[in-house]
Amino acid sequence: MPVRLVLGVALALGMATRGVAEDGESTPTALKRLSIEQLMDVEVTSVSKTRESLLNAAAAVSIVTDEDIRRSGATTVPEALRFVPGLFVARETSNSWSVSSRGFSGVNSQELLVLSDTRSIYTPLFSGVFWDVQDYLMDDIDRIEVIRGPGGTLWGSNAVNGVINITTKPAQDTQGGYFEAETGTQEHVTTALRYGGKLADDAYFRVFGKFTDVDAELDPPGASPDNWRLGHVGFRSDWQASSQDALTVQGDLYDGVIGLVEPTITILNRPSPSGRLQTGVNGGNVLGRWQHSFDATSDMQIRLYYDRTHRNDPSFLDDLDTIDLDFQHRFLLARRHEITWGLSYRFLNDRDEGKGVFALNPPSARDHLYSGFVQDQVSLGRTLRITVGTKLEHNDYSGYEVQPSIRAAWDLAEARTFWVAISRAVRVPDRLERDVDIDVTDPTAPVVGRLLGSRDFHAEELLAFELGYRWQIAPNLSLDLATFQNRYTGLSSLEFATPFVDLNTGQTIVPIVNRNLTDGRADGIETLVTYSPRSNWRLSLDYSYIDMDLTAHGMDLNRGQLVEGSTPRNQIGLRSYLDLPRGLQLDVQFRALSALSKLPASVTGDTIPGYQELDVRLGWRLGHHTQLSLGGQDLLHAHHVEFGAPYQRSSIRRSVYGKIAWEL
Amino acid sequence: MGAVSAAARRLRMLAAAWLLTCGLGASGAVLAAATPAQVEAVFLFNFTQFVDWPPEAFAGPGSPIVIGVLGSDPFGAALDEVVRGEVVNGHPLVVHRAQRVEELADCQVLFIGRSERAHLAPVLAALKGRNILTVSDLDEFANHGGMICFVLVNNKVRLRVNVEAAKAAGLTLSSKLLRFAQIVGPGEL
Repeated sequence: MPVRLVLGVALALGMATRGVAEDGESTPTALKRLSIEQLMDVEVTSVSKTRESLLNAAAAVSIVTDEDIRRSGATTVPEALRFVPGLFVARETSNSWSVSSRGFSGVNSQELLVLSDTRSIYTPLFSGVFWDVQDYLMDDIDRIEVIRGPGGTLWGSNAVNGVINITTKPAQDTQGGYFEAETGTQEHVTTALRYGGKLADDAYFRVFGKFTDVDAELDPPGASPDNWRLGHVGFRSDWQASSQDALTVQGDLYDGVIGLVEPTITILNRPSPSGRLQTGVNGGNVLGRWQHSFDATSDMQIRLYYDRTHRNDPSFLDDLDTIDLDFQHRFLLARRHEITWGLSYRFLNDRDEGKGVFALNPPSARDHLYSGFVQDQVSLGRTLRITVGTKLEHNDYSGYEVQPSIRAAWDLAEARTFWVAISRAVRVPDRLERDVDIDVTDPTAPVVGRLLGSRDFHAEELLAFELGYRWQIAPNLSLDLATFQNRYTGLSSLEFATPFVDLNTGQTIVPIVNRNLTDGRADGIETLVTYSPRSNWRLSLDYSYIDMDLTAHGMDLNRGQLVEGSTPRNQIGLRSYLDLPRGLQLDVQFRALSALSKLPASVTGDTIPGYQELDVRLGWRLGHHTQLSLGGQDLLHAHHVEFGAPYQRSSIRRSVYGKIAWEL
Repeated sequence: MGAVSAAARRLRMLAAAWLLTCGLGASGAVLAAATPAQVEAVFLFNFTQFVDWPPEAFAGPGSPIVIGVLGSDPFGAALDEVVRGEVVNGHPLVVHRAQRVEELADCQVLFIGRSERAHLAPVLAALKGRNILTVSDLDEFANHGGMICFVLVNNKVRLRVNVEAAKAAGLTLSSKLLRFAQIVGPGEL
């Protein structure tokens, strides 16, 4: 596969020079005849120009734009992330995904932090994201920024291998009425209605409602079906109160029923929930943000949110309330230092009632997280930028954590940037690791194995070395290359602890606890080439390679070490977005992934073979108000598996869909 | 036969009527081919017609309007092509490119390239008190003391204008321009 990549780049390079020369010189002259109003209505195409400020950063950054989302046909955020280099997206069932960055794949990918309009959607319960309730009206998403590699200095704990920032459009960009409806062989229906209006001068709002009902995939024999449905309403308002002040208030409410193939928690030889397995989910959030700029070089932001989630899973009932207050300030010091600093506080109130074998002890926990960070970006000369910073936080799980980083970006020449970074990041223990209390053998026997939370389990640590190169080779051709070596110490492993006698029952208890006894490393290369052979045609090629090697120094009873093989060693993606005459668009996406050689959850040793898949979409714009799409996803096979142990995964079916979007 | 050609004619007439009502005769031809840089280059040209400079901004009545490009240049030949042979109110248009803001002190319009992101504050500070229209496509440029910022909204180039900053530089922006821009300063329209 690396050979094919090199060929691809050479081919693209050869074509680029021709493309540039060919492009008519008459376009600017033709544009000159337009009025200002008409000029603003000209639709432009660009390869990688959107929001380039982040692309100057000394970090591996990718941006998924609203157009990428529209043209991919993605109906969920994980599906929209499939072509980001360095990420591995795999669908385990109709409603559960593994989204991971630089390894550590799993349905709860613990090392990746995900934020939605700066609100954390990483659950401190299991470490990971419940993707089934991360619902969006996809047209509301402005962009998804993916920072691979450690983001702990700015974003804090759990941003070990990456940060995903999902940003929705400001209300002024979604004015008027909007309706969409989609149906297909897998989706029964997805329908959404939105209205945006003006409250006052410079004050806008939108409200929306969305309903999704998705059919089961090809489930394992005898399994409970994984169909699901979710209703979601939300709003956002943006007010430019003065030239210096901007206010945003937004919120969501959702309610749904998620079908499970397998119980969330299964202990071998212990009873587990049976029959139709469904999780009732509901929740909501409200967020307020005030941005104030003092002058051209300094500004600040205060953000407060409240988030509530409720999950009635067959194995447990969990209620989590989160309040988060965040302050950030940026200013210029001595002309060349751009200082950013911030303080934040998070309060978590979790109540978890186990059902059957599962229990957390204590069932209720209130936790506080305090943190502060400071970062200095220094410009040395005109071509070198150095960013130094650290985060200091205190959490109730592992105490104080320091996450420093140093980054340097060097503009070698126009449109060529070389960057290098060294950083430390940590993943702090989650509630399950601290408070779990499950008998894993017959609880009435004289000797009982008991999975217990441990206060001695501390944070997992990463020291990361990164190098990257970005080159805008021509206006229509760009290359983004990133490499990394990650060194992990103290990764979690389940170990036996010293047995003790329960004085109440006289039983001997053999505790099984989390300890930090696994170390390892991961090396990888990620590359993205974007090329626009003609102004109406965009191509992109992404390739990711990872080699991971973990060593368990203890017994590693949960086989956590095997996560080293749960990410494909090679991934390649090819996308083509083509605009045709008469408002037609033809979009094709192809991906090829090598096998998952090991999976911790697969006790039988079964793994996932490599696979190739193809999505095709035909879009048709009818006048100014209507957009039709007809698409097929995963077309190459009747069905294929992407992730998980045989008893817990569905086979993802080939599907066809049709969609209408109507804008007024 | 007759019915078919009548129907075809009606279709053609409908198409012509649609083009007329939308006033897109010209833009229709270039719709598919424009890049943000090309559109922005034409905007820069348009700004020279919709901004009033005080007389002291020019060395003389016939001296040129200089469009400066600082740092990385996204336009390439497009900008030169747009201004070639153009004269606005007796001032011929010329383009100067430089890597240092000091070398562009005599321009009337200054486009600040993305390479200047980290130096935005010193660059804007160096221009204080000069009658120079500052333009960029860096995020939130207009909110940070720049005058006109290009932003991409739904693949269209939109303008964010800080009227107050322009006024402070002694520049008057025409209502023809402001009517279609998003105003980020408290100045009057």
